[in-house]
Amino acid sequence: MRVGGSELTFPLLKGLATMKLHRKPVLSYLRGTGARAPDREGILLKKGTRNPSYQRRWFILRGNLLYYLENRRDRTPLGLILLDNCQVEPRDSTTEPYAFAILASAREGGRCYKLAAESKAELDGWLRALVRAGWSQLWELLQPLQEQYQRVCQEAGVEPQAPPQEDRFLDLPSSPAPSSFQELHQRFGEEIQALARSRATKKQTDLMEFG
Amino acid sequence: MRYNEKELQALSRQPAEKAAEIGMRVPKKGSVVKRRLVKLVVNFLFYFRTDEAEMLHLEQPPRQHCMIERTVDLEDDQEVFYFKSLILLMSQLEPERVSDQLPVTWTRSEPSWNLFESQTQYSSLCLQPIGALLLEHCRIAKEEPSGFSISFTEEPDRKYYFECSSEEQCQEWIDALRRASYEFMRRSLIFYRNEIQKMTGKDPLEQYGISEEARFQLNPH
Repeated sequence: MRVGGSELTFPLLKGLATMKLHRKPVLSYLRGTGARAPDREGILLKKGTRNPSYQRRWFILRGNLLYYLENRRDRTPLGLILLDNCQVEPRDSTTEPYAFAILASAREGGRCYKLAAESKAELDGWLRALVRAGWSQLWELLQPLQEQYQRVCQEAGVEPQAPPQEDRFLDLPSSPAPSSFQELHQRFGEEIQALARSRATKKQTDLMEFG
Repeated sequence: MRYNEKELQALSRQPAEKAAEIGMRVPKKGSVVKRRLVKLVVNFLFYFRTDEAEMLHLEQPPRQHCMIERTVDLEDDQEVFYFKSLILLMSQLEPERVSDQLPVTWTRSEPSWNLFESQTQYSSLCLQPIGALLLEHCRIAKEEPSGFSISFTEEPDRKYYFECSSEEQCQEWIDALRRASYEFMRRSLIFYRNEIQKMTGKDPLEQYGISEEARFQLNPH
């Protein structure tokens, strides 16, 4: 082992081996399967980091992720904001009346995203949606509901079921809920057949899962 | 696609739903199974280098800067960079270990060396995951023996493989990863809501004042 002089100065560590956020899952989640619309989307003004002016961006909220695109029709987002451990609150702005901020992981060096809506209604809608978007919030909503379900099943003398694995099961038409199991079974059957026909040309083996 | 790495790193440092040392193989040509510290936080799966578990115990700041020549055979730039930093650190903190550990030749040459100049930089490297996978629109399947794979809807043949130490551990991970998906939780919530409403005639979400929220409706297109 060769040891060099002890008074050497070296540049500050730049580009520490950066963590790799695998892109494809993130993009795939944004694009969705077509089965579910995003939780919220629309135009918001975003203040740039280097450029202090506001840029009009198309924002899409899905789950606990807030994506922003240059244009509505773009396939690839410009950026992504993780909404867990975020504070979302209105803020004062000299130029924008409906301004708000997303403070992401503020204690750990996260960013303050300065945004503005184009109307009061939009501002309120976004604030409401973003404040509730965290994963933990959904988890906290889910737990008591799950317990309630077990209890209700027990009281009714019914075996509790596991929630469905795949999204397709819940793609029911928005017409009235089926009144009997038979009807539900029939409807599922028809849906599955329709799916099978439309996917006959694609290599889809996972349709067999819920056969 | 921009995102703030610090936000993701902060997330990776949160208490995990599940964490373990597991063998992992990424869907890249020629990749092999490597032992990783795999950590599940919300709907993200983070994976860390396992030797970092050791490094986390080292807390002294670097005492002096020094240069080392040692030869190691490594796969890619990230590995090379990391390994050099690791050697430098260890040489400062535990010099007697360095001479034993490293027998082979650098396959890449680099003109400059980066050194840790402060405690903070050293801590950041230690606590940083190699990577993160978002667990949405993915399929988690059992792989024999005692392993599982994660693949994403758009590319079902491109699989991330994981090797567990037992069938039990494997099944626990599969269940935990499935439950971690935001979309799975949403579907479950909608399912329970509908079932409860059917059986009791009452909407359980009313008490929270969110029964009209679009994200909990059956089928908003």
